[in-house]
Amino acid sequence: MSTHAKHLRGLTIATLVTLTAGLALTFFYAPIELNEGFVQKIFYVHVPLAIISLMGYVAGGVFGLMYLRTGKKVWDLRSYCAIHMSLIFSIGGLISGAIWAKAAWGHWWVWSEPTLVSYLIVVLLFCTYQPLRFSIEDPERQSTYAAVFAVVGGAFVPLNFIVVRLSVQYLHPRVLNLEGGQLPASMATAFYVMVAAIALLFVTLMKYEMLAKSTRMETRRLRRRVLGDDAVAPVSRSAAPV
Amino acid sequence: MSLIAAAGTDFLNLHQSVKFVAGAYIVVLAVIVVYLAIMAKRLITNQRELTELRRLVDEREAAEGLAGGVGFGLDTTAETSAQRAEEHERAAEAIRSEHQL
Repeated sequence: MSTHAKHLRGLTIATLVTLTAGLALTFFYAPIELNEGFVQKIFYVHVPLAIISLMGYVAGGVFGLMYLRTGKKVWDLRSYCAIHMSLIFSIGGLISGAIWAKAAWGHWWVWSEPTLVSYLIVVLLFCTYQPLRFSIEDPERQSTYAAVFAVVGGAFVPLNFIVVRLSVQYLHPRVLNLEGGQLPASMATAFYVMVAAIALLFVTLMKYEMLAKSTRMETRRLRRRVLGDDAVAPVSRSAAPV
Repeated sequence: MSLIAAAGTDFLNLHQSVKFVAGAYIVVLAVIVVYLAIMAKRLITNQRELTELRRLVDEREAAEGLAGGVGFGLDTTAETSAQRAEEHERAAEAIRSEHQL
């Protein structure tokens, strides 16, 4: 059994249990916020998605760095999958955030809000990761250039986050700060369980994707061994590691 | 941030709020479901390919058996079999070390 498949069943069950608990706490335990009302429930999914996606980009950078250091393909695969998953989570985070903004502010998007715009910049930056990979045919060069991009992009994420935090004027509600946040215990419990659930979902889906990709690679190798090199069509250009 | 603990408080725009909240959660769910559907499609393709490979290997082994150990240009003398096994083991080891499998 590959390392990608190890503990996958347990991880899947843990994800489902945590996600169910998080949703139950969100809707049946956490109180309704006075100013925003029921709309504030969006925050329990939107904020964890945004946080975990940003952490995923940073993780992609760390994995890219590990690839550059060791040259092992598995780190390139991890970096690719982390960034891929982060992009998917970012889409969920952006759309749920836009829905919240429409309900709370009356606008789908506010360009004068630094948190929103900086997050969008990060997402757009990482949207170029896949085209960058796709544009490079040679797998070795593709992995190296993608790793460099992931490291630079990953380093940009915390920098971007700090710069926005330092800006004085903002509209975006602050959930976490150095004093432990602004949430009362009942809301904080639901929020942190949802963060854990989304983090587990991220890891589980990433592991599934890695398993699928490595299985695909193994199938190609098996095909080559059974049928010979000539019988297997050369790998077409792909953004994914081959 | 001021809060109330009483669940079920009648907000003026509760009906509207439910629509927004449902919309947000449905969108997130839809994004994940679409991703899973794409993954499932790829998995099915891979499974088909593996089934085809299994069938080819079975056919090859059957033909080998019928030809008395010589089929498809495969020499199955003890020495060659050992060499082939060793070669396969080396290839498998190379794959394992490359991908840490």
